[in-house]
Amino acid sequence: MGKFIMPSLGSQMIEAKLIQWHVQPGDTVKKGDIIGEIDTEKGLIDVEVFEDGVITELVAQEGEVVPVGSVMAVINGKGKAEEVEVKPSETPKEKKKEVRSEGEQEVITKKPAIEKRETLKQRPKASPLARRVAEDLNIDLKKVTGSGSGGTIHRKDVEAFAQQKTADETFEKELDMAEHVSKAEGKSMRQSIAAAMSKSNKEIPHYYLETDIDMKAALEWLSDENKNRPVDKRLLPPMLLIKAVANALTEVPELNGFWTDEAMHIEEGIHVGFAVSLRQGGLVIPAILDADLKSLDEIRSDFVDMVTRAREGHLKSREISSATITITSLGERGAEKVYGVIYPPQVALLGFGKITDRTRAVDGSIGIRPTLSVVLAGDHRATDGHTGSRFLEKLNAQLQHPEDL
Amino acid sequence: MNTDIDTIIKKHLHRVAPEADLDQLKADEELGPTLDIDSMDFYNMMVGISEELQVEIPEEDYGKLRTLKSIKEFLSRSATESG
Repeated sequence: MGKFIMPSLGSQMIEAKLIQWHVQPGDTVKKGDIIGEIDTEKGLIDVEVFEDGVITELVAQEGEVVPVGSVMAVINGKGKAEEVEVKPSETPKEKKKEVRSEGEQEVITKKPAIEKRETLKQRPKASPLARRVAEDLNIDLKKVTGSGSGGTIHRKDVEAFAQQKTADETFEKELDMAEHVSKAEGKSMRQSIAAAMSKSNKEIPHYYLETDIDMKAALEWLSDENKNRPVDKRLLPPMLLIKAVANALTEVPELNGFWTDEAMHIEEGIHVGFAVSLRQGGLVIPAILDADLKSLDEIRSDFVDMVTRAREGHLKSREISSATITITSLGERGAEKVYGVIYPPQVALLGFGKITDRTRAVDGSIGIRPTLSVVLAGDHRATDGHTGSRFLEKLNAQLQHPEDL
Repeated sequence: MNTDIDTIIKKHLHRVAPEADLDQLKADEELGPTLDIDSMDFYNMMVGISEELQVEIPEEDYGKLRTLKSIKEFLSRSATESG
């Protein structure tokens, strides 16, 4: 028996209202089917089911506000009931990690084994008093930084850590509270962005790397390519950029993934999120799933489809909860450079400015070239500038050979 | 013919910028900054117009269609050529 639970679509989401079911008890569903529609701070979202089976019970009622992680429906898995994941009830904060994406689930299931190995190999060095205090305060010594010689943890380190932890938890509570209050006022998207960005700014030590990319080759190729395409199949620069980012990430995967539990978890799937601004204000970040494996044409149709659905509603739950990296692109009317704020728990954000004609040194003389400023925001806990630089080099190389994208 | 084209353009503009007062829009104002529409909105609008009027919009003309006036002129020209 599988339980279909309210998915978490962002680190700050607590609950959502079930607008309607698209299925009834007795219906057969396949992995990826849309079984219902929920109203969230990101607009109306279609929720997908993650297993094959038969719906045996619809627990949540239409119109009901359902907390993240609560059971919405019961599904009888196809012949392998014991393998179907049944999620125990926990606090919403812990749940979000489990339901985020299949890729992340893999990482999480692998984690205990790694931790066990680390425990055997190196138990943190700590004074006996520090150990006792840590036990009293229920603190994991592995997370504490020792100030003694050779990194030995003393009592004061444990106490300082405990104090910080309490402050963090209070902050989280305040954020959750702010979201609750704002929901009542109908401003939830703004508040949700505020909460995520405040968390990012508070917790993520950002570093910024900036480079200019010569877009002559890419734009000429695009223009030639578009001559042979009808209007509705034409390629726009952001589609090229998404594909180039995905390809570059296959070469520098360190920027693709999440910083959770004080460690970097590189994701295998490259899901490129891109910020779509909404006319009524605010933005949503749908992701093109497995962008590295898709052709430029597949990316084109995903992109057009998702931008339209982002603005009209009906993004799918997986599309807005799976991004492993985010792109923000200001388009043709924006500023020339954008220094973005990383969307936690991701570890990198790429800001693309407006492509403008600028003077550049080309083959020993001065030329005027269409130029794109790219700013990479990286999480310094997860990577260093060296990695970021390597990524920007690869990205540049991708865009110099658009025909290979 | 021109009135028809005008209505069709405005219908598709209304789809991407529902709250804009299109009656106030001047013929030679740039659509992007005036209505705050981006390249995707513009793309969706042009796809809609080209489907409805059954006109191909060549790549080299696409970039020039930035005002109500230029779009109208282009479409009138295409209509005359094909019809």
